[in-house]
Amino acid sequence: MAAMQCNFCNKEATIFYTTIINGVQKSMKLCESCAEERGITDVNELAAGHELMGLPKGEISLPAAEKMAAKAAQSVPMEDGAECPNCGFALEDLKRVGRLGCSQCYSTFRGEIEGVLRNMHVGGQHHGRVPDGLEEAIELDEKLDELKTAINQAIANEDYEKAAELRDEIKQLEKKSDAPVKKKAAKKAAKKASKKGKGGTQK
Amino acid sequence: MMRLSTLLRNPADWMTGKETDSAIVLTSRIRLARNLANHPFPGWARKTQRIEAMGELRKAVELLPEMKDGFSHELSELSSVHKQVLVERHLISREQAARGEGSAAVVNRKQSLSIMINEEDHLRMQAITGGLHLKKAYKALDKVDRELEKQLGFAYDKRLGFLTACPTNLGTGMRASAMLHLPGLVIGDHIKAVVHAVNKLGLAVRGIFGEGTESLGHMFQISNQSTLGESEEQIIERLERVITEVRDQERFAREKLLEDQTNGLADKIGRALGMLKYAHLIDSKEALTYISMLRLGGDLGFFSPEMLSICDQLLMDIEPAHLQHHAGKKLSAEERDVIRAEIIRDRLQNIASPDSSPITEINPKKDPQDPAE
Repeated sequence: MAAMQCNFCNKEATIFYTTIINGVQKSMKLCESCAEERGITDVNELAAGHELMGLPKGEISLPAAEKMAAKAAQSVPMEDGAECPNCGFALEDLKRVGRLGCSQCYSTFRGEIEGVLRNMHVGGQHHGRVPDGLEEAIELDEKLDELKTAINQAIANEDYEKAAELRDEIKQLEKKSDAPVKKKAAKKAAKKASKKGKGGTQK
Repeated sequence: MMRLSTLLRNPADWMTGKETDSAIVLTSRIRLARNLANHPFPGWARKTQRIEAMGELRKAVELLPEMKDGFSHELSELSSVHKQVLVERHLISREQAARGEGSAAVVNRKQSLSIMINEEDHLRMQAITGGLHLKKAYKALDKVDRELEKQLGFAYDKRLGFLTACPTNLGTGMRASAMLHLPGLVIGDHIKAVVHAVNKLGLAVRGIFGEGTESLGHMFQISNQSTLGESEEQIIERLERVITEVRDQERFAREKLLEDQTNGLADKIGRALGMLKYAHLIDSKEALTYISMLRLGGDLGFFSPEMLSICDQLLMDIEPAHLQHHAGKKLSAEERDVIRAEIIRDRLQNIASPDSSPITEINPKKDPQDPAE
């Protein structure tokens, strides 16, 4: 049998690294010393080989990253100014860096990113833990959405009495919905101030 | 603060197989990715921005009650061998080890929690336990996560959840994984079917394979792929259900091997011990293959149960950076093979040839049916 050659040098390959993710199989061949140097034989850190195969550490498969960048590039009529206003990151950079520039990039490039999430995740809506204090705000938002649908329905049915009722309810909730956000921001500012020096009471 | 030398001298129980139920599932690990809202991600930030973010993060992390008397170092303060040793102990990632100024690692005294500052994300926090205890690990990490969130405020979006540098981690930012030793399924030739089935459930399986279907060290990692669209509990429950199933299959495969091929198994295990006890030059591939057999032998009653812990300790100690740290100098590949063989011979010198009439009744306490805590 012909000896198989290491993907990284001329020596004979004796170690075969395989990943199967979502049914896609990828393999590489390595000789003993290349495998060791690259941490492949570290049985507890199998992700090392993953990186070597060009799969970025975030466990994204490269095709997904490329697809995302490509799709983003074609779907946005990219003007020279298509950059994140907060950090200067452009979608072009995604191809090179494989990651985004800052948390605001998600607002800047929301459409492009949401389009490719389907290939990576089971859903597009977060169902996990919500930061403390945001839960109420989110419930409120959901309630508001509901009421707005209802008011449109009422208007369509020419039930103006009901629509007026709903309008008042919405106004009430909108007041509330603004309040916690402001309070939270104020709280944060106070915390920052107290961290830097003295002052700022926390309540 | 815990000194590096203290940390290196005292590996955690989960690293050395001292937990009682780690015969098949060696370790469970939860990792959470979190970011500050108003700083660029570490990979995009300028050095001064990274250093500034690190200052803010490190102060908050070090003040956690969990981190009392823990270990905290900037990566730039550590030598490359020391960084590699931390990687081999799974306290930091390979990516983190490659970083210098502006990145730090904080580990609690028990080494069950480690927090990387400015890795791919501002915070990569992990909790590890021995055995299959993903829920327990999550609970410990969740507490730390909430405490830090109170002080730092993390980047979050109603629709996308916790925002991460790479979109593959969006949502929960959580990667849950377990490391499994599956010699029974490999030898019995059932591994392909199992890997296939696990894959179909949207989970990732990683392994090192030798030629053909023979896998190296029979070690596999199972983890979740998707982080968005499900809650942490849903992800962990599904993973724990699947891993429990794989573990039971492995248990069954081991019992079947013992029943059908007692002599063949005793021969494989005995030869593995012979090789390891008398080798003077051994590369890591060969060592892994034989240690895996001893580990199986320890579980099936061919040796005393301490064999599992001896094997797990060896798996860690014969890795390249550990060998270099042990020798106190840089080693060539051949020198590594010599020292590796030396360490193995030393640890196994008093191990007697396997008992060829092992206890056929396997202690059921080793693998409790319910992994939940």
